[in-house]
Amino acid sequence: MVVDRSRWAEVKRIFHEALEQTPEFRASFILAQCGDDAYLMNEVHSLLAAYLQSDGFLEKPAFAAWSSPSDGDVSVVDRTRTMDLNSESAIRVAGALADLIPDYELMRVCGHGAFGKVWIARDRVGVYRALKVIELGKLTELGITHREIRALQQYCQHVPLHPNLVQIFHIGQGENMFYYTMELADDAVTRLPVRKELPGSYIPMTLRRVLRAGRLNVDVAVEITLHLLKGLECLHQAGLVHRDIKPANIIFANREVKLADVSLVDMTRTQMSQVGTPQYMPPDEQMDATADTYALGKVLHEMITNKNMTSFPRLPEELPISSTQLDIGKLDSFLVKACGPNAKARYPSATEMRSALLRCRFPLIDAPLLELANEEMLPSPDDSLALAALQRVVGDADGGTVGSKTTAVSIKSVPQIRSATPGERMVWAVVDRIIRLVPWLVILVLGLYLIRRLT
Amino acid sequence: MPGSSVIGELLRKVREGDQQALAQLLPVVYDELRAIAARYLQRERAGHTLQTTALVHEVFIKLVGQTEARWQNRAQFFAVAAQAMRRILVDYARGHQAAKRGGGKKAVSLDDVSTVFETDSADVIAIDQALQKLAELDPLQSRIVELRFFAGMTNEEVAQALGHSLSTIKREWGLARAWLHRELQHL
Repeated sequence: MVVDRSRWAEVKRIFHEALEQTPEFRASFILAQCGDDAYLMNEVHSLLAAYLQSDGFLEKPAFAAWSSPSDGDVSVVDRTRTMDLNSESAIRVAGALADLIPDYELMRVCGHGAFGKVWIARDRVGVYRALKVIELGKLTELGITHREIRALQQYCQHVPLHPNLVQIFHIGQGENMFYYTMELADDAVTRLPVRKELPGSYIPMTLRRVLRAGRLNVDVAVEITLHLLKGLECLHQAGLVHRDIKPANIIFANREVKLADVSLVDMTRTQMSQVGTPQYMPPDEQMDATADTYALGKVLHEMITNKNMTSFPRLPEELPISSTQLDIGKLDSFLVKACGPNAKARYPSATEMRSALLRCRFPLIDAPLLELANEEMLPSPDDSLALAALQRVVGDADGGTVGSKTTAVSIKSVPQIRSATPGERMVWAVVDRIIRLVPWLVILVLGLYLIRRLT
Repeated sequence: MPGSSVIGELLRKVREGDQQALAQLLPVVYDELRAIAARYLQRERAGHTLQTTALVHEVFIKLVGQTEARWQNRAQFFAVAAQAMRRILVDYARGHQAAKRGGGKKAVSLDDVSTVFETDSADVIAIDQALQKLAELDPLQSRIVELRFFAGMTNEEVAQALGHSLSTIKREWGLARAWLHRELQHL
């Protein structure tokens, strides 16, 4: 959302006054104050939503971080939350939740989504899952009743299992809350799926966390995008849209990259306002399938440039981007189309976008063939996280999607254009001749037939 | 280092809105904070905890002196210290990021600090940038966040330093935090 200074005083006034209302009257109060001013209404609503989620946020001063060493990978923001969540009240909350969620042992909170916390939970046989708890009170408070339930329903009913879409295992309901379990992201520190024991330093491995270490190699970024497009294609074919694609909602789990957070998933035709994430929303705010392709295009741009937005959606000229697999010029035009301001001109669905991205590769290259031992190609030599991401994704692509007999090409070598063997060439030549002869044969037969009839 | 009376005078000028005085004062406070922070951190290793306000207070005593009793000066000093603190943290985070990328160039060498200061540098930078945006929209809110987050002040201290009522500070802090949360949540 663009910051509009001239409207700020108004936004502020309504926000403060709305907070003074009792929760059940807030939505109608805001409606009465804003009338049909959509900008004003969106601002106040989204700030109120953020306000309700921001408990404990920035509460601990930045400098105080100096006094708690140990876990260096927890960010300022995360740290304040971790502190907040390990407090006595959080333990009480966990105790109360344990009564409501009988089949899981709640370990600790690992993330905050809209309207709910995500816990790491262990089921009866010791399998670790991510468990999201949604308090209905908050949903009703904001006048957005049961949107999340509907999203979940749509997702579970219509979308088949797909390796690039997060899997949902169980949905349960308690008093004034409901919860669901999903795949747990791999550990960003150890880079491994959580199996027997939960590491104390566990941090979910999201694309956002991987990108904090620096930009990715362009071939790898495209490979990740192609995988995500397969998942998105599956979603789009079910008639649904994701509406909140961004690095924080893309996880690495069980050696796959997956679209996660289904809380805004909905039917393509439903019109919803104030959903999604402003930075990844198309400027026309058209929240259909083209919003997903726009967001994924932007994520690809971010993976390649690490938020160098100087020439977005084009690739910045000052950045050295080279590839042995990709036509960078084509990739540039691809991004321009994917992230165009006009919905009609963007890729209408994941299917089209995926084939367009595949066309950016040089023809006839057996892709993707990265040899990861070669450190020169890594985004930043000291970054093990990104390396892990690459290994996962590329490792998977090597073993899974490229089924035919492909020979691994090291990055250092020039891409090998597949040339046919002499035997293959002879067969093709014969087939070619035969095909060319077909029309003549037809004419000959017809001619002979006519001559017979006439004589 | 300028004498305590000079600092007191500079603080008075800053309070009156003298930008030049601020420019003179900031580096002094900055250097002093860094030096004292480094000492604190050595004690920290011995098992003590670090309080930002205590740190800033110590700098205040050192620069302005125990006898400086006027609360306006103390409050003003905290406000300046908050800015200095913000710079220290952001500079450090930038240096940390640059070193990570293999550039090896540190904007500020905070060797004593680096071993303990392990906060994610990307987040400090992100908060700083979001705060710059907020400052354009609402200067008061951005000052409140600076004082609370970077100088570790309480709402009461912030109210004193900025000359606003406690209820105003609380209200604005709530909205500022929501705004930043929204801004940063989706990075």
